[in-house]
Amino acid sequence: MNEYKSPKELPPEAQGALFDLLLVLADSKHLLGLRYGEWLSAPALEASIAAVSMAQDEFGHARLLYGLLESFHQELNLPRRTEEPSQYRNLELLDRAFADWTDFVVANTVLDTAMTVQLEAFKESSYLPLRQRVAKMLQEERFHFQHGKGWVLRLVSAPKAKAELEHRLRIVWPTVSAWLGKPSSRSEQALTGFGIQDTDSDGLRTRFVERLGPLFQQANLSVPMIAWDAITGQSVLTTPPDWTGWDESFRRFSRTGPDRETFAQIEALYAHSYPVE
Amino acid sequence: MVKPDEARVWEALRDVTDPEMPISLVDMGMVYGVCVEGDRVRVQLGLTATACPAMEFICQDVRERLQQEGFDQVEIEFVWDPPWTKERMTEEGKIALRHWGVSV
Amino acid sequence: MPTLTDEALKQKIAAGYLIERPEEMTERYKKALIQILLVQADTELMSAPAYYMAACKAPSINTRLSAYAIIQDELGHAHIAFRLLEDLGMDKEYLVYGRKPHEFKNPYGFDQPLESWVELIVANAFFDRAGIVLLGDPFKHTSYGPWKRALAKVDKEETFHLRHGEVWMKRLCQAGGKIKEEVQRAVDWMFPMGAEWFGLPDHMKRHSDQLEYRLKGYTNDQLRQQWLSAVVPLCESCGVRVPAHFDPEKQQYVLDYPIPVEYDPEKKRWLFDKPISWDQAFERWKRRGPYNEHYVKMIQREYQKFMGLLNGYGQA
Repeated sequence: MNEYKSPKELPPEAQGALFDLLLVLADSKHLLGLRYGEWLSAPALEASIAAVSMAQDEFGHARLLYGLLESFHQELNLPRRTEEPSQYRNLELLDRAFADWTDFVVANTVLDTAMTVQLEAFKESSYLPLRQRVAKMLQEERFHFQHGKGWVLRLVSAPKAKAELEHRLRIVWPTVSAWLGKPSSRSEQALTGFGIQDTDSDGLRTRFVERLGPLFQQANLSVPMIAWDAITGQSVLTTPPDWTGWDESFRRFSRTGPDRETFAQIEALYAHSYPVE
Repeated sequence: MVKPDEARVWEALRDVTDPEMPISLVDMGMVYGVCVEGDRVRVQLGLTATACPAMEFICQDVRERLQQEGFDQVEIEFVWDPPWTKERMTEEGKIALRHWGVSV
Repeated sequence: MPTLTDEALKQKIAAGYLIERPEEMTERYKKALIQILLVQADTELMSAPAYYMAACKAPSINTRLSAYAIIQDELGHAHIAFRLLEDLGMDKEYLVYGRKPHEFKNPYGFDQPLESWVELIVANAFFDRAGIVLLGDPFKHTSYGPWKRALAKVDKEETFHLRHGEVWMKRLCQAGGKIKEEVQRAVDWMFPMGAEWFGLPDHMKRHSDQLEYRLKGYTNDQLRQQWLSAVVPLCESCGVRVPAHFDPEKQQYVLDYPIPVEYDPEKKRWLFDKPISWDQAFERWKRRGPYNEHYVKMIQREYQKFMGLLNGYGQA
């Protein structure tokens, strides 16, 4: 297997696919950081502290990933690109603020785990700069899942909260599940073919389900998109994503980007004349 | 074998503390490598977290301290592999951290 | 157990004894301790929404990260202080989520909107300096053991906030032009806010249980002086004007206006030609500043709704 030390060494089709994916991940982590950070109003002071701490982790990861992207196009000046929110490639469930703490818990378990599963696929990546940064990010992600899990178990102890959680899980599931990539797309072929990630999108989805299935099982949550296979003792995906309207390079169904309020915060990052390093 | 020049750099880095805790970068286990070529020095640093808020301060402090040692060019490279963990800390560092109320 | 008298307790404290448990306290000691801890807890807690408001204007991911790290520290410090209050029999949940906005005991400065990155920086430089001065005192002197130990971590972290504020303030001032003017405008309203923070001057203060029980060691004027001796030279080195100077005769820093004076929170302007009494200043504090309710809501917003969900009532 080849090892690539810079974008220039990558075959062109892999270069494009990796660039797209890193930008999707960086924007998604940036937005997840913004969302986590909005929870000074978590229902416990400990949770507010955890939220702002996890927000920093996500920003830290976004900073690393944007740093990697800079070597692809020097003039990119990330995270700035354009004054258009539609250029943003974040996971669309992060376009607007979470409605309530249940949404936070869903993001903390499901959305965050999807990103982690994607990162894990780079552990043995042929793209060296990425491989070297993944272990640290994964180390930091462990706490995120533990935190989310703790709150899921707390929520399901109350019938009404459990029903609400199930409802939200069903809403987000198709989008998150699709976010891991469309099978047999050209970019997927490039990413797996050149050893940038160690499995294809369906492989990622399987890992994703295997990660969350046991938690849902333990919490006795009914999410019809996941079934428990009593013979193998594993969770399996019952419903594949509906790809109608899917945009693989943005990993979104529509290119709307974050809402205005969110975009104003992104704009603040560069619409100023302060002497930033 | 550590070259005398590099030993001098390690010694100097003992004077630079983590801006959030009064523990030296060396005791924190954050110095991954030092490479001296004439009046140029390259320091490899592993940050405790990807989101380290003190990154800028650390670079500034390292630069200033090594310039005092006569190095005109100080290059700092961040290393993430292997990731920093508490195991990298010296015994001295761990004791100091406990003293400041952080569990190790 | 024989009843402990206040006199006996004060003697023990004077001999350097550290109080460790509520059983070792008199009611009066406990009351004074709760009062001072609650001010600390509320100050740390309410700095978080104020800093968050400004963090949303951060000019880069790096700067936003530093702001978040500071917010996390402040919430952590608040948490430590509320835990100490819990040990004294107070209900932590109620204190954080049950009180009305006007019941929070944070200083007037954290009832004000922080509207820009520059205001966050000046708040770090001025307000966190006030925090270090105010907490460095009990860290050094306090007779309550658990508080003294908890403050070791707090003190280190506040030092980072301060450095963040001071380094950035210098950097912004070096940029000159409009940016420096913006710093000057922030300093103009935040400096007198900081000076007022330390409260009644010593010659007007009658009696202090907090000092007699050695919950702290310095008087208000001593603390204000410590603050001025850090903040005034910082501003001078940045080329920013402040209404205070060093008086070589008195060998101390003095204010160039009669403290306290009237403040217009809408325009963020001090009316230096309108001196008021300290009673009037306390009245203004009690009426609360414009963002008191907003900030408290930022902390409490979800709690009731979430408890309703857990308990099976209210909207889902």
